Amino acid sequence: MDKDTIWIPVGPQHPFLKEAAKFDFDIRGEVIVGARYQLGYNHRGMEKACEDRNYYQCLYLLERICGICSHSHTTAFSMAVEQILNLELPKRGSYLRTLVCELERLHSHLLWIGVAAHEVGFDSLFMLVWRDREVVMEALESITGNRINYAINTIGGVRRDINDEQRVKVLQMVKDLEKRMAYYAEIGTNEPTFVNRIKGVGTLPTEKAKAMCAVGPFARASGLDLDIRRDDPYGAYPDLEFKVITNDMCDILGRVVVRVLELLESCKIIRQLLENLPEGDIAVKKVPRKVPAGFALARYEAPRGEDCHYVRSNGTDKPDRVKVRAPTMANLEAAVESVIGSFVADIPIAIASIDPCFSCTDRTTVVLNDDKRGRKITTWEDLRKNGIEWYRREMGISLS
Amino acid sequence: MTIEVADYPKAIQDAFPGKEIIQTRPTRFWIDLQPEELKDAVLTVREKLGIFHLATICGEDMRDHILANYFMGGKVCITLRVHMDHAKPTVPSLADIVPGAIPYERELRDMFGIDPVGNPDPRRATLPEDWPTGVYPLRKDCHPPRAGQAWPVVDMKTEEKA
Repeated sequence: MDKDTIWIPVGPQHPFLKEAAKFDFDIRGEVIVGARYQLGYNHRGMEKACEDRNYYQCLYLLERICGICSHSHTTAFSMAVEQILNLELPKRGSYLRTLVCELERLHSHLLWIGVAAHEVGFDSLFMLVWRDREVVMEALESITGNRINYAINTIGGVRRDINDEQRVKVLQMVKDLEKRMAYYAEIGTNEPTFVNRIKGVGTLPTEKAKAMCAVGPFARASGLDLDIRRDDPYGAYPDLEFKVITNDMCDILGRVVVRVLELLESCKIIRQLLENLPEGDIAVKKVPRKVPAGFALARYEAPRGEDCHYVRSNGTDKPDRVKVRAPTMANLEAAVESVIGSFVADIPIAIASIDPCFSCTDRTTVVLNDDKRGRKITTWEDLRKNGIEWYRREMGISLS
Repeated sequence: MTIEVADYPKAIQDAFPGKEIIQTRPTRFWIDLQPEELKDAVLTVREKLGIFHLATICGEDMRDHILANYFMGGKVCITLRVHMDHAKPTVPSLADIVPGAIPYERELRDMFGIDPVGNPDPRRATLPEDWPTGVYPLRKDCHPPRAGQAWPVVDMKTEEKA
């Protein structure tokens, strides 16, 4: 490295995102000439932990890979297990599952638009968009009982049904939101201060995006026509009409446009689902607890891109191998490449434009220190005793 | 070129003559390979079967051998399954034909000890720097610790000075 190039680390504490990841940038003046990333800070041992838990416990565990795309992971896992068991979902269950998928897409894209606006300093848009996101969260709460980590999926269908009153309420919500989203589409593409900040920044040419196997809105903004909902359909998507949004801008403006237009498409899909909701069961009855030996790959179009779950079963009630490949992992190399050539001030928005979810990307195992370094393993009981002792000693308060 | 979903079984059998193609669903195909055949297989899938995108690479410990699944996904998913021994599992790296495979191969190396020969990135993917070499978490002989137990953690050299 010559003496004009400086290496700056960004992260792992609060790298302008609310999650831990480390980026290293080589900069010359204000221009970025090299970039690397290092993950592993949010690794929690999910894949290994799934091998010790039965399928329903795995479902519970995998939901908590990520807060924003929790439904993606449970749906993909359920789909993989349903493929092994050869289960055909009842229509109503399939529609309800897809309804929550699309509501999740709405809330995730609204979140991203707000965060992107915040990263470039456009806090008014951030506040307005997140206020509308609250409307979506209320709809999700009325249907599933929770704002995130919905726990609506089970192997073979969904767990809760919706009545007509909820259906009408969600339809009305979607109609109200569509008007406001058209307004955000207008601002996102025409407001000069916003557009100047994101046009031409973080460019990723189509060929590079293709070679680096990018997925999701990030890839669609670079001209790649990939959408699992259309290419490898699942759930209720074969019955639905929707457009796959792509454009050729290849920069952050393109990604904003793709996501905003996808919001409008999701509203259209939700309206179709609710207006044509079939009657019937919501889940397959009597799903066997022990899954016969087999393997399956499920792909799901999460808000961030293609989410792959591979499950291998071995005849017991616990899976033999669960592999989760979250969309951010596919996009991260490409994102870090796309930053090269931009300015240091563009780092937050350029990395944020892939809509990163590092919780989805890291899944590792727990490490405990042992006594070699003279430190001991502190158990919960020790922590509690230490706390009580500290208060007694330092503040004269007895808590025991 | 676009192939219809219904025409894929025949197209795949033509592209891989002599190999047994397992089909679990109308859109899921699985082909077993040896490590040397991997690169040609990926190029065949890309050029003759119209599937460009590599979704992910998944390692598996099948107890008597190790498996690496290469999922290529388009309208259908073709999985190339590479079989290796436990003793010295290696695969040729796809870094020159599929740059997007580099992070997945690093994860294989960290978690299973499969050596991707030719991968340009020697860093650890997800495990911390002080994780001992030779301990591969996702192999079946590696168990998560019980209460009071600890993974073997090697001291980092710099910390000994302090």
